Amino acid sequence: MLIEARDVTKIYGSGRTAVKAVDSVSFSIERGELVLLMGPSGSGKTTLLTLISGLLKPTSGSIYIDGIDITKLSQRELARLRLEKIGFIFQHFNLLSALTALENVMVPLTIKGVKESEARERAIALLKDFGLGDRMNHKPEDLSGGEQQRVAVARAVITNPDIIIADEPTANLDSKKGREVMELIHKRVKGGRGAIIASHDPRVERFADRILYLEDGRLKDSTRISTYQ
Amino acid sequence: MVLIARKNLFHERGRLIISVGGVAFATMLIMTLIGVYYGVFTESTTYLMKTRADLWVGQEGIHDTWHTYSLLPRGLDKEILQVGGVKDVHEFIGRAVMAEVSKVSDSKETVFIIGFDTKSGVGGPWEVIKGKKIPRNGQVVVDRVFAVRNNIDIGDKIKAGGVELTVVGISKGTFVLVYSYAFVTKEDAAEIFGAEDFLNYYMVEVENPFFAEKVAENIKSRLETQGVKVDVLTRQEFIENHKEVIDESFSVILLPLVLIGFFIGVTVIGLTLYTATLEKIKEYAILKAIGAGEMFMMKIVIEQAFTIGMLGFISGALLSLAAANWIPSIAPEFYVEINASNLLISFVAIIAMSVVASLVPIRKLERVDPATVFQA
Repeated sequence: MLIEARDVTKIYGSGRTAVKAVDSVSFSIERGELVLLMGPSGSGKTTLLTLISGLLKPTSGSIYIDGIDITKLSQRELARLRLEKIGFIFQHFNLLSALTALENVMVPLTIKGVKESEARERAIALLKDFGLGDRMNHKPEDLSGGEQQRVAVARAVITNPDIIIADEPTANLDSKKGREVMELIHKRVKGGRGAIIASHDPRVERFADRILYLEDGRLKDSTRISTYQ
Repeated sequence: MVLIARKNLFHERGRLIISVGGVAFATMLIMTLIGVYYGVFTESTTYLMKTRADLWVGQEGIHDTWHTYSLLPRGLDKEILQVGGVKDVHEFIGRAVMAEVSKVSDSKETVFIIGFDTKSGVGGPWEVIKGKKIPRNGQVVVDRVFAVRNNIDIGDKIKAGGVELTVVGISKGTFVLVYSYAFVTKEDAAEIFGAEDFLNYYMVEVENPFFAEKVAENIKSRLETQGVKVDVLTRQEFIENHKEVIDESFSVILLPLVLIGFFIGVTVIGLTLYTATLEKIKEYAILKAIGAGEMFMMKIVIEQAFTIGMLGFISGALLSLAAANWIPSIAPEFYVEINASNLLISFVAIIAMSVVASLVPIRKLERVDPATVFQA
């Protein structure tokens, strides 16, 4: 299993002000599986993504990434794990504003210590593959929302991570651009990775193999639906 | 990491220019102050360097020309000449006195009158920019700074110790921190000081400078047998003693000013980095989220600090060189010496500034919570 959450609970605060954001959630994701995390605002989707990413420690329960219990790892080990195994895509793209599209895609490789010339070569190839060959020297402010999100996807997958974690990746895109971005993610997942995507967007459903419904921090339902080819 | 650091820094060009300007100012302040310090050293010891004296024979316990004045009886030169290895002996009569400048009413200024042997020229001015080098009785060669300050030219008169002297030459490189040298004949000096039977030092030329120390010991012994207690210093010892005097009085003023320059630099770099860090805090959270470790983040800040520091240092060094050429034209008493040692000290100061200035932004980055990347 690529991701496994066992009875994960996250409580913010303590005593009378304590809020249970995630409540005894258990699920797993296999390789090649694209899982959609749905639920109303405040249902705990983002907290669950943050926990799986190792950016927050659960109050109780365990989370396994490729067989490793990440709740037992140090901050340094977690950073290394995120770099090696996880690619992130955010609702607001979160590109580095001072860097060009190409340089943004190179960032994870730079952090990994890959030689600049090699990182540049790999990033150029990927951006061309994503249809951004003529936009790679533009800064984020000069790119459209769809282009920015494609750059963000390229940044997320440049290191060939096992897992893609995405938070509302289509929320700021029109339907055509949203579909293009989902196609890119879907293609990568079917190449042997796993993905968990938090989204309100019903257009994303058709790309999902399974949908997890969260409500008040609890997993209410898990539906297997995969139809997209 | 270098890419991110530099791109972030150059993204805000206005702020970068201001901070580089601030560091350049701090560098210039430090470099110019150290330059003045070295300049004073050089000016103060040039006379000793230029004078053909390998040994200085003075009254016992007195080791420079500025503190208590050495007093020795005239006529010891014959005894000294008897010592093996001595080539020649010259008298040095010198003391600071108040000089009146008749051209400017009520103008008085301290000058260090030096009476020298006008036949050999030893102890006299070595570079004259106007007039003649060797004065006769009733004449004086004054320093360029003194001349500029008092609007004096060839033919003007000054009065020292009640003796009126006509300016016949203007020398260069003969200004020492607060007063300048003025060169007169031995006879005039004796009259000005009212000490015809005494002088201050005997300047000794030796046949082989390699044996100067041995000759010094022999002179001391020989004069002691004559009942005269002296100290005999080599040129280098005499120079070092003068440097020590300057160091004692000057470093008290210099050190606080250099520290002010240092703190200006630290503050400028620190504020720039801190605001740049705050402005990009969300982007640093993204870097942490995608797997950047503490060391990677720290290197970004340090890289930025050193980029500002180095750009500021280069600009500051160029400004200092310009200042070193310009300052003497408006304040001739200041000689700013930019040498390798000055550059090295300033460079080390900039490195230290960059490191110190990085500490707070690094601490800030350590506290950045990568979980915030999922917040809208």
